[in-house]
Amino acid sequence: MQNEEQQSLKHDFTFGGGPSNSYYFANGLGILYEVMFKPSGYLFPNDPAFNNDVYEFVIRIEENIVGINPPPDPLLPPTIAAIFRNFFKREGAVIVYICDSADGRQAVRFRKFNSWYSYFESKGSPLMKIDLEFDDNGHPVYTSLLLLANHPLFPQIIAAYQKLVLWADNDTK
Amino acid sequence: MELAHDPTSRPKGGAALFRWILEQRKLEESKPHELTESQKAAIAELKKRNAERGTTVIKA
Repeated sequence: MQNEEQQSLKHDFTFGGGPSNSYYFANGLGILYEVMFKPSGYLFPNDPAFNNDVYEFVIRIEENIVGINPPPDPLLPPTIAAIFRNFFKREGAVIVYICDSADGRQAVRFRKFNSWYSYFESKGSPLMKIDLEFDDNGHPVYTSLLLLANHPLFPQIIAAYQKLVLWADNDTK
Repeated sequence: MELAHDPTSRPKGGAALFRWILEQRKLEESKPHELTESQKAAIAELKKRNAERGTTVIKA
């Protein structure tokens, strides 16, 4: 019951726009997050039918007045899910997520991203997530593609994404 | 509008492209982050709402 109650809560958020379609929310502990959907049509230059609808999802800390790493926050998944729901009101939107691997914590980030998606999924969303990973000089690179299941170009987009990642895989050999 | 990715300098594909995207992200993060007027206004409005409510939490 408590879990259900908790799942009906989230952090308030706002759309700030800008070149990266930024959303903002605060965690109540002095940290302001920015969620960006950066236009990324360049990933699919040969697919003009949908490349203008491709965005890269990035989450970063915009402001941290306490100077400590954010503690685990059970309201993060429902907040991110709500932001996704809001962003996907754009017709035809396709989102690519690439886990940052600079500090070797890409697997942790990928698990976290999956937990956000699980929350989204549990709410009966028709949003599909396709995960593909490849090896880059011995380091795993995790990527995901998100789009609505009823996207009219669904098979074409999945094929283009697979091609992009397989290309990446072959490129390292 | 400033382009997030310079189309002339990026690799065309493969692992190099993904590496380049992550490098760009790191570079952007190291630069001072300038907010647009609409972003500043949105953040100010969010902070005002949170302050008036006394919490960041709302019903989903």
